[in-house]
Amino acid sequence: MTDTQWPRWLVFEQSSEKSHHTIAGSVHAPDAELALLNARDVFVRRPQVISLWLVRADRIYSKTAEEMANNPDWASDAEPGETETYLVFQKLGHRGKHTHAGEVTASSPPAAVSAALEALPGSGRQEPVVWWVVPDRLVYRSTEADIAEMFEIAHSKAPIRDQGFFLTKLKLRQGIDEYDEDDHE
Amino acid sequence: MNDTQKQALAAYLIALGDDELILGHRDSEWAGHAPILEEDIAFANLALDEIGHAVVWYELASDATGENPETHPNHLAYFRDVHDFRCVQMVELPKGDWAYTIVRQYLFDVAERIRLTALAQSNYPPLAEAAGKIKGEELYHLRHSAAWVKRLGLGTAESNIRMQHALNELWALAHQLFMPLPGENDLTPDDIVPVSANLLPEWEAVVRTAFAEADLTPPAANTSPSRDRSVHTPYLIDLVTEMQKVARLDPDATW
Repeated sequence: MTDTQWPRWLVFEQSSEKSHHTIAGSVHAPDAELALLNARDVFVRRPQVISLWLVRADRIYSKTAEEMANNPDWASDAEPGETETYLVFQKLGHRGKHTHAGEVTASSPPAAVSAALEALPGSGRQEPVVWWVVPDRLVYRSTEADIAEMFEIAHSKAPIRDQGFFLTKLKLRQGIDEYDEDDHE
Repeated sequence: MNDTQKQALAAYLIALGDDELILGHRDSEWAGHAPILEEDIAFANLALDEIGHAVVWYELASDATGENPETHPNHLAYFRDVHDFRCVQMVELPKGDWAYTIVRQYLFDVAERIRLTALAQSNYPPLAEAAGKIKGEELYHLRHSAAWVKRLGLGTAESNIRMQHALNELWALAHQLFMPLPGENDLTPDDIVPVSANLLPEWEAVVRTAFAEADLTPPAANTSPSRDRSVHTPYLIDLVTEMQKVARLDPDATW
C-alpha cells in the first residue's frame, strides 16, 4: 500500500542570537515552504523566535551512544560519497532536546558522526546520548524576511482583550463549571 | 470629518468587519475537519485572525459614531439582525471542499492586501494605523493561501479540476469586493478611503498571474451577481443564527 502521508519535517527553532537551534517538534508537509508555514502555525505563534530550520525527518542520520557502544563496528559499512558539510545535533542526557552543536566535513553520514565524536565531544557535564547528522544542503532555513513576516505580528499583538473576543468560549466554560459545581462530575 | 462622514465611515467599516467576521466563521468550520492536522491548526489561527480584524473595524466604527468601543462590537456581531449585515455574498457561501475554501480565501486575501495598502494611506490617522497593523497578518494569510493555490492547481488532475471548478463559481462573486462599499462615496473625496473600483486592476493582474502559474483559468463572466451589500444569499441566515445562538440565550449576561 502506498503511504499517503506527507513527509515529516523536523522543526528546529532558535530563540535568540546566543542560543542554538533546538528541536521544537515535527510537522507534515508536502514541501519545505509549506513545512515552514505549518511550523509557524503549530509551534511558534510567539515572538521570541528569530530563526527556523526545517529538515525532512527521513534525511536525518541518527546514532545513539548505546548503539555505538554495543556495536564498535557500527561505521564499518559506510559507503564514501561526496565530501560535504554536515550539521550535527546532539541530545544531551535523556531529558535533553536535540540541539545544534556545530558542523563537520565528511564523506558519508556515519563518517560525519565519527568526525563529530572527535570534534564535538559534548560539554562533559552531560554526555550526548543521541547524535543526528544531516547534510547542510538539505536544511531549509527561514530568511530574515520570513521571520519579519511571520513573527513581527505576534510581537506587536496586544494581550487578549478583556472581554468579548472569546465570548462564546467563556460562556460555554461557565456553563461547564456550573454543571460541575452541581455535582455532576 | 463632518457628521455625515462619521456615519459613512462607520457604515464602511462595519461592512469591512462583516466580510472578516463571516469569512472567519466559515474558516472556523474547518476546525476538526481540515485535510490534515497542520492545516486544521493553520485554519483555526486564520479564522481567529479574521475575527480579530472584524473586532478592529467594529471598534473604529464605534469610535466614529460615539458608541462604546468596548461593548458595541459585541452588539454588532451577536445581536444585530441578519438583514443588517453588509458582507459580500462570496463569504456567506458554505465552506465547500478544500479547493473551494482555498480559492475563496486567496481571492479575498489579495483583495484585502490591496485595500489595506490603500487604507494605510488614509487621511484619517486611526484608520491608517489600524490598516497598517492588520496588513502584516494578512500578508501571512496571503502567503499561505497562495502556496496552496499553486500546489493544488499543479497537483493532480483531480485537485486541478476541483480548483478550476471553485474558480468558475467564485470568480464573478469576488468582483463584488470592488463595488462601492456603504458610505464610500462620502469618504473618497477627502481621501479617507480609496475608490473600490480603482483597486480592481491590481487585483486582476495579481490573481490572473497566480492562476496562470497554477494552470487555472478564470472564466469569462466577471460581473458580480449583486452590487448591493444588503442583498444576501439564504446561507447567511443559518450562519448568523448559529453564530449568535449562545449569546442570545442570555443577552443580559455579564461575561
